[in-house]
Amino acid sequence: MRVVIVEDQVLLREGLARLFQDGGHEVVATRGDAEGLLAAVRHVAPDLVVMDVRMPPTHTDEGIRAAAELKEAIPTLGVLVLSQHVETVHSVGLVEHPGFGYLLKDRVLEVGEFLATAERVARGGSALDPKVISNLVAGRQRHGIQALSERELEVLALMAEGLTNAGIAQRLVLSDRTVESHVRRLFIKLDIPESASEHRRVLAVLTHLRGGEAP
Amino acid sequence: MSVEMTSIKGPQAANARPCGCCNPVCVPVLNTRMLCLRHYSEVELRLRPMHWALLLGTLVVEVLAIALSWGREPAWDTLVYAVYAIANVLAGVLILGRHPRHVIGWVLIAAGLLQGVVSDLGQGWALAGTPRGWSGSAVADLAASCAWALGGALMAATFVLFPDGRLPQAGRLWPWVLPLGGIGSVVTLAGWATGDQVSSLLVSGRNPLASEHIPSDLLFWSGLVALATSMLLGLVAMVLRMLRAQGVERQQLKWMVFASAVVMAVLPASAPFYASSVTVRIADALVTGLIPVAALAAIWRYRLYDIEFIISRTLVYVCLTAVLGGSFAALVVALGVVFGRGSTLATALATLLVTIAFRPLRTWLQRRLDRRFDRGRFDALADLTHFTTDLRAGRREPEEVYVVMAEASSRIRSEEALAAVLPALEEEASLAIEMVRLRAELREQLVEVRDSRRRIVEATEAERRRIERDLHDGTQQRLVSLGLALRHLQHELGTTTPEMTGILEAAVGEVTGAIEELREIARGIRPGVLDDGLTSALRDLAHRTQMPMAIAVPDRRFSKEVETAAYFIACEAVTNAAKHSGASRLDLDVRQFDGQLVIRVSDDGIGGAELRDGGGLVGVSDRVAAHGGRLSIESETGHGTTLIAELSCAS
Repeated sequence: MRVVIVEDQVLLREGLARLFQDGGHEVVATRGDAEGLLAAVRHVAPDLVVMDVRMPPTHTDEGIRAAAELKEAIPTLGVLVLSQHVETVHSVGLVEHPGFGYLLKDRVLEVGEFLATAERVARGGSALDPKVISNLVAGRQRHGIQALSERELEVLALMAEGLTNAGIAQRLVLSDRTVESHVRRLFIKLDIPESASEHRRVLAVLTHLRGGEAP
Repeated sequence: MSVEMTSIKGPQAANARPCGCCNPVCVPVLNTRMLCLRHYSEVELRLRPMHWALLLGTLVVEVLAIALSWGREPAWDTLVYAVYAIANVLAGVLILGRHPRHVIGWVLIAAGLLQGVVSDLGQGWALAGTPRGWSGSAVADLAASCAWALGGALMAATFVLFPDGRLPQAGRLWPWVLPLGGIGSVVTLAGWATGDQVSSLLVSGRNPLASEHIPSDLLFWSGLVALATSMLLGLVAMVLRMLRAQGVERQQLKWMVFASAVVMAVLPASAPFYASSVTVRIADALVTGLIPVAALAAIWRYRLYDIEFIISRTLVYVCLTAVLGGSFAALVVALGVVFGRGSTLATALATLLVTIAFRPLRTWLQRRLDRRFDRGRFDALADLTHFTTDLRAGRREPEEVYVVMAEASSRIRSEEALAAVLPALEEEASLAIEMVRLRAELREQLVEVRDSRRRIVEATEAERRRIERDLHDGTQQRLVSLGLALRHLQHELGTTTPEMTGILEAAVGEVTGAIEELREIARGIRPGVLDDGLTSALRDLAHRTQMPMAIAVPDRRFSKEVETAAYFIACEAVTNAAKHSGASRLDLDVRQFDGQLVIRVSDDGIGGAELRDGGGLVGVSDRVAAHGGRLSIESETGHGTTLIAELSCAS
């Protein structure tokens, strides 16, 4: 996997680069800000861009805006945004596109999981940080979410990360059939029609969580 | 405050006062009225050499007259008439100093010179020269004793020409007053000078002009009747003029009519005692001096409106004297019957009763007269007195004073009369005006305090934001880098040293824990999620709260300040509820109504929450207040707590 890292703090940028290299990936470019990023990305044609949210010059949401720009110009590009804290509005808006991920920055320390997520995003999957999911869930308590059991909530959070039933079963150390029955009950409770597409599952969950209409 | 405590100040006096009028809170309409009235009499005083000459001449004449007469007649006689002459000339000169062609000025000077040169100096010459055989002493003697007849004509002229030096426009009779007075005084003079009666006044004791061939008595009496008629007509003309006049002219005439009325009342009343009492003679001379003084005051328009006050007070004291004097006499007689004639006890008791009656009687008379005398003024002051009473009782607001003042002054018909009453009205209203001023000041200060409180809160928010940034972008990033470095080390070591790998794994766990804690701390200081808007921040809050919590928040953005305030208000209210209420569930409801953001936090706990020092709700209250919002807390014991905060979120 060819990776571009956009991070303004030198130590962290180098740490991330090493992390990907140690994982057997190729870091094709590293940058300190989002200035002229699109041209550079077109030039090196990476599979994934890993990007910080707060970057110069204003240290607010440069990363988010640059990510949106990249996704619009190159829809197939995988973009993984790393944030210091939970930001629901931006993150959810972007995760509705395939090939996009939003994680808290310290997730990088769980190297294996992080690299797996990065690879999934590079392949066109979605990833949304579990904290963001639980935040959204908390915000929707007045709806069907209240009826969900704790295990169903866990399953929902993993679904929103883009995991398949098998992936969820593996993560929660459950049998595939158990997960399937959780998912079914969950869809019934949330009134979401079941769909074959992994991405549509995520979308369905997110859209429901945000209180909008199902796609 | 009773009416008697108020005083009328002339426009000039109001000018000098450091009054509330300079205050911007004063009613402008009253101010402009005051301003245009204040400068009525601002014609500059300019004495020409001739005026000085007249004044100094009179002084020299009087000094000479006093020197000549001193020791040859009673001293009071010499001095009182000197004062009278000087007063007339001075008044005349001062009038001419402002209005150079004013006839009244000349008439007064003429009267003063007549008194000074002919009567006083002539008498002095006669007194000193007759025994020594000075030439002209006989002429001077006679002239001094006859001059009064001409003085009468001058007084008639003063009356009929006052205040503008012209005859009254209406009436065919008035043009005859001057010739009648002139002829009358000349004829009187002729009769007086050639008769025997004058002899008693002469130093020589013998009239050299006395003649059997001249019908001097007939001349004297017919002349005197004509002279008296002209003076009377002059007075009538003046009173009629006053009744028809308005505004300033009316006030001017009031002065003169008042002075004349006093003279006309005092002179006949004191006539029986004139020969026997020196005091009465002095008093008569001084009272006559009121006429030039009144003329000067009226023409100069100096404190023109004080006349109302003077007349009213004069009447009060005249009535008071009459009533109390009569009562005293009656009491002495009545009590004398009881305790025996001439009893000291009776006198003492009568004195006591009269003394006790003095004050209430005076107040009562004053009110009666004020009402009768000047209804508008009385009612206007009464309005304000009622208002002040109501104000003290808390029934009205001090800010209403301007409306009351405007209403009160609308009771007074003319601008001039208003100018006279205004100082009294202002004094009556001074309490309310002062209260208004203080309240305005207080409001201003309150606004300042609110502003500074808001600035402090904003500064605190900015600081929290900065700290949160530092933690997230600085420390947290370093910890992530450190973690990554450890992970890299772990990777480099591979599986060769499982012991080291275990230690590194634990170290990464510590770093992860530290980052987690740091994130919690940063969120406590200021949640970064607030950047995403209130909705996200409150959902985040709901998620972190350790009890079931339903939230409803509009999905839209407000200003940064409002969002921050609303978040922390909700946050503190929720924390407080979670900590103290013992509730099983919480409801957070945020809505927008008419430019207000309404935050409602309710629980089903034990209730009984209150704003206490150091309590969690005080923080909420302060925050709401800093944004100029409103806070209400309903917390009946056993029925849960509902907190409602309203913040302005317009625009």
